[in-house]
Amino acid sequence: MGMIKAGAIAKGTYLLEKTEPFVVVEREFVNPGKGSAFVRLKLKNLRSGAVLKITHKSQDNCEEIDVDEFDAQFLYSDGTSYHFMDSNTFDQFEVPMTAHEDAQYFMLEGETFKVTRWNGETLDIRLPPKKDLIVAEAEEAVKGDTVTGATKYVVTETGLKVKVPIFIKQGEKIRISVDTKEYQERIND
Amino acid sequence: MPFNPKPFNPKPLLDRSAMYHAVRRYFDTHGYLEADTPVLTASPIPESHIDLFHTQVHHPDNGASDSFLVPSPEVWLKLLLAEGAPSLYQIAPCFRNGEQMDRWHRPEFRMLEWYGLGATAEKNAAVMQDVLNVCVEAVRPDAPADVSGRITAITMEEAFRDYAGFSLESDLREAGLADSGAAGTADEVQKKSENAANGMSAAAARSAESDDTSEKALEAQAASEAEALERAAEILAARLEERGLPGGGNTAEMTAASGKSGRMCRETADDLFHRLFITLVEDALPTDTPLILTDWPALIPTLARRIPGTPWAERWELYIRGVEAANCYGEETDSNRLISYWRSESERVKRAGGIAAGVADWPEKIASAMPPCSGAAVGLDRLLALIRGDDDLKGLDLFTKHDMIRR
Repeated sequence: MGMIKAGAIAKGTYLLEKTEPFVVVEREFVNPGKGSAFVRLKLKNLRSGAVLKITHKSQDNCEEIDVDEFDAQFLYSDGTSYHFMDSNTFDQFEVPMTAHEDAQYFMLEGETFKVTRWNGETLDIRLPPKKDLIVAEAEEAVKGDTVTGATKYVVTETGLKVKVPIFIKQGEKIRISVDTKEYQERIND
Repeated sequence: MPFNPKPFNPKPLLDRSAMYHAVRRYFDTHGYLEADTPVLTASPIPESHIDLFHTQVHHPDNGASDSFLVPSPEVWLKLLLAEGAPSLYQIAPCFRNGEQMDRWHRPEFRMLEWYGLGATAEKNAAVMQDVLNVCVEAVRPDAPADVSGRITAITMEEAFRDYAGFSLESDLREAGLADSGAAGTADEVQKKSENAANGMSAAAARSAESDDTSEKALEAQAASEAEALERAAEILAARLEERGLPGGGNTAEMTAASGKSGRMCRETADDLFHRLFITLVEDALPTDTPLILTDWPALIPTLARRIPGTPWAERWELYIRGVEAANCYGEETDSNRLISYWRSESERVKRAGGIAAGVADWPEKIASAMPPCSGAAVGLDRLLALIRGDDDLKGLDLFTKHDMIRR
């Protein structure tokens, strides 16, 4: 366990607040006109998924969690837990979906991810910032509908419903921002 | 304009130019004189929360002397006012070191600062509305209501009741901050108003008192003020603790975290207030129209004058889309308070290991002749970005790899 000055905390830092492990989702500096510098944090509880908004003075000491990071292969999801296999030891383990609901949309069976562990507890699955997914279901574009900027909804191979431009067809590959779950571009392999 | 065939995006320059012209046109036609004051100074205003850019002036045959880039034109403008200048405004380059660089912070920025003679903070809120209107009109007449709508004004007390769920005023009164502190003791306030009624100036009244009496009175006042601030710190820390927020209880947690076992890390009342305000209130303020938050706690050391009989100071901050874009004080004019504020800020700067500025004559000059007025300051880069509908200051950067923000 190390101490970190609140002003040095970045997005993705792991913190212990009131004995619960959190990851920093957002960080913003606040400099009141007359007063000490503060940092406003949005944290995600890595056990419950609950979001905590908290403010620290930049000079406050916070408890940083020293995590182990290792590669693990995603095997499958059973609806309540993700099942992984440690790529080095081949040990299998489960991660409850509670705090990582969105991960289901960005992991394909057989893919390898960085997983973080602390005191024997799997804390987090490090997802890439962008993910390319195949469109599994898409409505046909209405013939003659050529309005620029027209959009429709499609469903990806992982079950994510996403708004895309009208020209996207079933079977095509699209790039999604993992943070916002929004369409970014069509990928032509 | 001669044609230059190279591709160039003139929008940030055009928007800024349009805004500056609008600002100048407004103040030039409303009785203000434009000032242009130095950027380099040997004796900056001491501000314990502002880190300065430090440089040196090299004298060809006589070594070097310390110099600083100004964090605002405040000291110059106040000096001009004390020397008899009319209402003033300035669009000034300002520099602040040691701050985090993010969406809304840059080490160098442009500030619009103005002082209206005889004005109050309330009067300046109306000027702020005018300035906002002319800037929106010049840059983006069809801007949405979050920046172009009429400014809503709410008091800090209302904001605390609505968003933090308790009365800050009751807490501050309970601490005894309604009748001590920056307004002076009740006796002093009484004496002042009697003097005013008799047509006696504050300076004349002071010189009429024996030095001894006023010295003792000041000491007694400082002691009772310190006690009230201690009580306020306890009450505010309890509010934080009730909500399980950092800084609450003042606290074993903090002591352990500081690594100095056995030593209490007691926080000041203004730090505790800011913890509560930033966590519970500031983030919850409505953003559908611009908002002015008025009447800030007088326990925050500033040069905003105290609202008599209350724990509040005559001060507001303007928020647009939740971003702080401007602030304003009804300016303190009492010479003792001005000098003691600068003295204590100077001490704080020294304690924090800051560079002590050179000996200056401006504190005495300003303190002896500060006219009643209200001063406001607007972060022009922020205001422009907000009017444009930007989510950060990047859209205004003229150079992609700005040397100032290279890390």
